[in-house]
Amino acid sequence: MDKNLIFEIIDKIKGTKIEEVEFETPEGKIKVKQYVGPKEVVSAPPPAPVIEVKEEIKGTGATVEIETKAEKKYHVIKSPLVGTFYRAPSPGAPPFVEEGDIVSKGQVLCIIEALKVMNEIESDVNGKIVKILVENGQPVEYGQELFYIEPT
Amino acid sequence: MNKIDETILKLIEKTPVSGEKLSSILGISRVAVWKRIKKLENFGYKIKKSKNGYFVEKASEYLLPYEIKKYLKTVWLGQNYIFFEEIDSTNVYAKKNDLPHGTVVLAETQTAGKGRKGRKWVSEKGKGLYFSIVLKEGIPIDRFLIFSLLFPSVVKAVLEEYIRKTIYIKWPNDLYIKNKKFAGFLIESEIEGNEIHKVVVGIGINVNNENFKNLDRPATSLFLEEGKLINRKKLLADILFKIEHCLENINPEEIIKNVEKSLLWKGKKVYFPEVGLEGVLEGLNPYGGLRIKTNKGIKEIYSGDLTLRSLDT
Repeated sequence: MDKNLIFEIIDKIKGTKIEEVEFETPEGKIKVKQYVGPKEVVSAPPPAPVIEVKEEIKGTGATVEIETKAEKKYHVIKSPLVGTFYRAPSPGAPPFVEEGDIVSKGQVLCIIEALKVMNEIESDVNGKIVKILVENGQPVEYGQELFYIEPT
Repeated sequence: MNKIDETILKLIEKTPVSGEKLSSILGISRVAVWKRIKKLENFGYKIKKSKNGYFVEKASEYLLPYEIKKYLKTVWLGQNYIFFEEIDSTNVYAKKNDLPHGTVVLAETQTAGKGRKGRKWVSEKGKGLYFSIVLKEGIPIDRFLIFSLLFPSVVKAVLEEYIRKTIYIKWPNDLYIKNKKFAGFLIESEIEGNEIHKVVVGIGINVNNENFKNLDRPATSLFLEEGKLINRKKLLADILFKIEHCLENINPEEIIKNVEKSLLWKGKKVYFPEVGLEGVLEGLNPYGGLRIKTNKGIKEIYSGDLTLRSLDT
């Protein structure tokens, strides 16, 4: 099972009141739990929040399902190194790609700069850019997701 | 210059050879010989014409393939050598064309030499060393950042055999004497997935340059600092030889140590105006990033695109 899925769920429920998410795929079962603070803090009568939380779990469950499909459907371009993400070859120049663009294997998608080395990151598939996940000029970590591509 | 031109050079370098003899050896007309002699003169060769025939009085100062071959001691680096009297940018040419591993593209002058943020790199004809190296094999992606520090560290080591002045490395890879820049590097790579397909290392060194008018920041050359002209052919061959050796024996710890030893503004207060970061330049981390000691602890900088200034001057 894809580890990223677990991290995505953690991201989704972080900061919410959701205490637990559980779901099942043909590959297995995943349960993510988080500490949401002492129960006493909740001022409303006990039964109400419980119902609320249940509803939220349902909602999150649905999102997770969609994401599961997205994971399978989309090809993810990750950063091969630490650096600064640039969408254009130079300041003021048009970006290499926009969301919705059709790209081919070997086409430059962005530049990641580190120690003044300009690394042109190329697509390793043919497809359509579905989502660009990083803003121009932002620092990126090794392995950070940069683009979702729908392969054609 | 082609094979026939090189054959003529070889023949008339040691002893004078008559036009008639050249024409019979090469199987071309005497007019064709004369045209080729003119061409060689245009490439900077001083050729004497006497009753004994043509004779090379002085070799060309240009870094022509024929001249470089006399000095080159490498096994693979620069064995494929492309020379331009003038080009827009050697990096652009090396990126655009499918060239084999180890190719060196050199130009006597670049009309659109590239520096950081598209800044212009001024290259006086026949005075400096402006070239690009194409690498396609043996580039470790996990140690790629350190790989970029290898080049300034190697070039600095070679130059120390030529000049006595102290050379500093301004992180990540500019070379300075005192507070003036004289050499820069621009490295560009193509990465697909986790594989580096191609790296182009652009190297620009002001060697015998005398003129730095119209520049917005202080620049210098080895000639201006040392007061003597340097043999560019030998310098290029020495640099390529040392780079080849170091690429075959990449030692990250040693590269970090070497760069840290010569780091400009080490232990001094520096700041990055674009991000408003200020602190003491402590040194490098094991990945080649810069360690800055700020009020809020150590910050690690990887972007060589940020302007780095000293606060102590």
